[in-house]
Amino acid sequence: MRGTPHILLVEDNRMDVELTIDAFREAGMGNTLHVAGDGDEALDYLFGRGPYADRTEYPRPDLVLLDLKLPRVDGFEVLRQVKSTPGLKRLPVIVLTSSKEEGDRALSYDIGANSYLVKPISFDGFLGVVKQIGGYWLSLNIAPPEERQ
Amino acid sequence: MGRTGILQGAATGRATRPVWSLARLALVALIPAVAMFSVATPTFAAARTVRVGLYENEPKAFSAESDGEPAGIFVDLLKEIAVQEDWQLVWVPGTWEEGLQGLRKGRIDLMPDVAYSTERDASFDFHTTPVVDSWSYVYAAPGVRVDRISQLIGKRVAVLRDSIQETVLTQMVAGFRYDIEIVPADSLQEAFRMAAEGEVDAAVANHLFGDYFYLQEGLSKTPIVFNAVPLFYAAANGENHDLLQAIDRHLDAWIAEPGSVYYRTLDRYTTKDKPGGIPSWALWTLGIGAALLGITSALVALLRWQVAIKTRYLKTANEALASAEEMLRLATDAAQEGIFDWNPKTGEMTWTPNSFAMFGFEPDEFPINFETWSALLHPDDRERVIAVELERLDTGDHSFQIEYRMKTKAGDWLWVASRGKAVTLDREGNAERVVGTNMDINSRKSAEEEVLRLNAELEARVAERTDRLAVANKDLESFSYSVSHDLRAPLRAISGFSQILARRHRADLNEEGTHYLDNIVQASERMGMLIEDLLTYSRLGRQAVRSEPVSLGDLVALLATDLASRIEETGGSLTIPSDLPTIDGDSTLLTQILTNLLDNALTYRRPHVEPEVSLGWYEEEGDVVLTVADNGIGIPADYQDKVFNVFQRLHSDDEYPGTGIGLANVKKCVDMLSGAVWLESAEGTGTTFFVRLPKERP
Repeated sequence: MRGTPHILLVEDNRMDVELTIDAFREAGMGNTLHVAGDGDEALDYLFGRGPYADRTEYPRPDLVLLDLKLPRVDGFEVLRQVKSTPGLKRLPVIVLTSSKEEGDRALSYDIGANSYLVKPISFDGFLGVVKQIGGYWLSLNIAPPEERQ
Repeated sequence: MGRTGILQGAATGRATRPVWSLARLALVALIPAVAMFSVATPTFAAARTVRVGLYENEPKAFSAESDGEPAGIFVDLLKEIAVQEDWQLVWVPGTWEEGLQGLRKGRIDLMPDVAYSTERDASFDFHTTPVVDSWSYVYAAPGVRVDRISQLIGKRVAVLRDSIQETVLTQMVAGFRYDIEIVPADSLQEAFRMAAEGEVDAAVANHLFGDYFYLQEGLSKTPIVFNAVPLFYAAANGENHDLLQAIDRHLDAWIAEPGSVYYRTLDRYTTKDKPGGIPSWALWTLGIGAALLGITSALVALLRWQVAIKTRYLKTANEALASAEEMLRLATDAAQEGIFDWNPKTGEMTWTPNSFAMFGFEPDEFPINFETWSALLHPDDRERVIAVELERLDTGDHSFQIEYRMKTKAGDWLWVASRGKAVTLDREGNAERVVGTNMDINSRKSAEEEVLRLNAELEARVAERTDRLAVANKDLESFSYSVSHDLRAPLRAISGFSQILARRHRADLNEEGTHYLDNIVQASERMGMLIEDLLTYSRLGRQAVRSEPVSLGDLVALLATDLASRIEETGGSLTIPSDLPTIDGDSTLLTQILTNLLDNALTYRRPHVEPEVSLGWYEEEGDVVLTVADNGIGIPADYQDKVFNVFQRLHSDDEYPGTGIGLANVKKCVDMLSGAVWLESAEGTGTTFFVRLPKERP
C-alpha cells in the first residue's frame, strides 16, 4: 500500500455516488475516491486512456467498487476486461449493487469478482458496509503484488 | 316290353278281387311244368335237321338247370321257328369259341347269339332282322363304386374272352390311355363269379345276361353302357341261306305283332326272380300284377308317407338353412362385415358379396386371391400386414386381427379391420384354411383421427397458452423485480439523505420539521421492507428448486441464533426439538418458510403476554409435517384461508408491522417444494401452522 489508497467507484446514480462519498467521509478512512459514471469511463480510467492518460492525476486504483447496472458498457463487461488484461487482472474488484440475483452473483464470481456486496437501503446500513470495506480491503487484506510488465 | 306287361297286369289286377290273387299265384306255379313239356315234345315229321351250337350264355342260350334241356331267348325262338318250319333241331354243346369254330368247319349249321361285325361278316353269314339288340354294362363287384369309366383306372375288369366286349373295351382303354387291367374270362358266369368273389373289381356283360344275373350275384349295375350291337343267328359263309331267310321271316312277323311269342320270350328272360322261364306270360303277369298291385299300393302309400316326411324334413331343413343363411347375411350386413375364406398355402380366396361391396365392387367383379388382395393394400400397410401380422397364423393361437387400408374401386383408401383364424392346419402346424371377417372401420378411423387431430390441436393451444402465460408470468416477475429493484436506488437516496439530515442537521430544524423528518425516515424504512419482501416473492418464482438433503436441525439452529435478540427483547421463548429430521429440499426455500413463520409467531403476540413459540414435527405417510405453534393473538376463522394471499393484512401497521407478503412467500415456497401448508387457530389463544413436506423428492 503506497500512501493514500485510491478507490475507483463506478456508479451512474448521482445520489448513490453522493451517499458513498458521504459514507466514506463519515467513516473517515482518508482515502481518495475517483468516480466513473459509466462503463466506458471506467475502462478509460483503468486503461489510462483519453482524459485519464495522466497517471499522476488519475493513478491506478487499489480497489474498484463496481455497480453492475450501467449505461452503455455494463459492469460485467468492465469486470471481464479488467480480469482478462495482464497488469489489471490482479486488481481487487468489489461488485457493489442493488441486485441479489443468483444469476448476477454467479456471473460476477465466474468472471473474477473478488467480492459481491449488496447496497443496503438505509444510510446506516450503507455506512456499515463502507466501513467494513475499508477495514477489510484497505487494511486487513494484503494487496496483490504488481505484475511485471 | 316289361312296361307293357306291368300295365296289363295292373289293369287286370285292378279288376280282380284280392281273394283271387293267391289262387292265381298258385296256378302260376303249375305253368312251367306244362310249358317245358310242350317244348320238349319231338316232331317226327321233320324233314330237315338243323345243328345248332349251344354255349352257356344265359339268358340268351343255356342248358336248363333242371333237366339240361336247352333254353334261352335264342333257343326258345329257334324252337318256335323249328316247330313251324318243321326243322329237327340238334343241339351241339360247347364253348362260344368251339361254336364259332364248328360253324366254320361245317360241324354245325347255326350259331345263336352272334353279334354282327365286319370282321365276322367275312367268315359268317347273318340274317337281316336282329333278334335282339344288346349293349354292355359294367357291373361292379360288391363294395366297389364305379360311376364313370375313369373310375376303373387301376382296377381289374373281367370280360368274356374273344368277345366283342373284349375288343371294344380294349380299344376304349387304349384310346383313352386308361390303365385298366382286362381279365379275360371263359364265360360270363365266370366273369360274374370273379367279380362276386372279389377277384376282379368289375365285370363286363351284355345287358341281357348282366341284368338277368347281377342282383343274384350281389353285383351292382353301373351307369357305364357301351357297345350296342345287334345279335343274330349266324351261319357259315355261303351256307344255309334258307335257314337265315326263314328266321327273318318269322322274326319280322312276330315283331310286328304285339304279344307275339317273340315278346313273350323276351319278357320271360328279362328278370331272374325265379329260375327257369315261365311260358304263360299273361298269367304270370296277371299273378305278379295282382301281387304287385297290393304291394304297389302299400308301397305307394309307404313311399308317399316317406316322401311326405322327407319333404317335410327337407322343407324344415331348407327353411332352417335358408333362415340361417339369411340370418348370417343380415348379421354380416348389419355388422358391415364381409366373410373371407382363404388358403394361405395356395393363395386361393373366397369373398362373400359383402366383401366386394365394401370396396365398391360387384360380387366376383375380379378374381379374388392373395395376390389380387395384397395388390389392393396400401403401400404403407403392406409390409406390416403381410410380414408381421399374418405371420401369427402359423404360430400362437393361429389367428390375426389387423387394421389396414385398401384401395376401393373408386381409388380411395378404405380402413378395414380383418379378423381371421386358421380353421385347418397342416402337419407342420401351418395354416391351411383361414376363415374370418372383413369390416369397414373407416368411420371409426376417421373419428379416431379426428380425435387425435383435436387432441393435438388442443395440446398445441394449451401449450401456446401456457407459453404465453409463462411469458406473461416471467414478464410480470421481471417487471416486479426491476420495479422493486429500480425503486431501491431512489429509496436509498430518500432514506440515506433523510438520515444524514436527521443526524447532522436536526439542530437546525424546529419541532415540526423534526417530526416530518422522522416520518420520512420511518416511511422509507417501511418501503424498504416492502421492496425487500416483494423482491423475495418475485425471485422465488424465477429460481430453480434445488433438491438436496437439508438438516432441519442445523437450519433451525442458525435461525434461532438470528432470532435470539428478538426473543430476548420480548422475554419469550422458542422451543426446538432435538430430533429434527433431514429432508430433501431447497435450503433457501426452507429458510424462507421457517423465518417467516417464526417471525410471525414472535410478532403477533398478545399485549403483555410473553411469546411462547414451539417448533415440532411428526411423520405422516412418508411426509414430514413441521408445526410452528404460538400463544399469540390468533387468526379469526373468517380470515384463515386468506392469510396466504399477497398483501393480505389483518392489522394496521401501527398495531403490528408487516408487509402482507410473508405468508404469501411461505405458501409459494411450500408449493415449490410440492408440500402443503395450513393452520389451526383460535382467536386469543394462539395459532399453529402446519407445513407438510415430502421427505424425499423425486
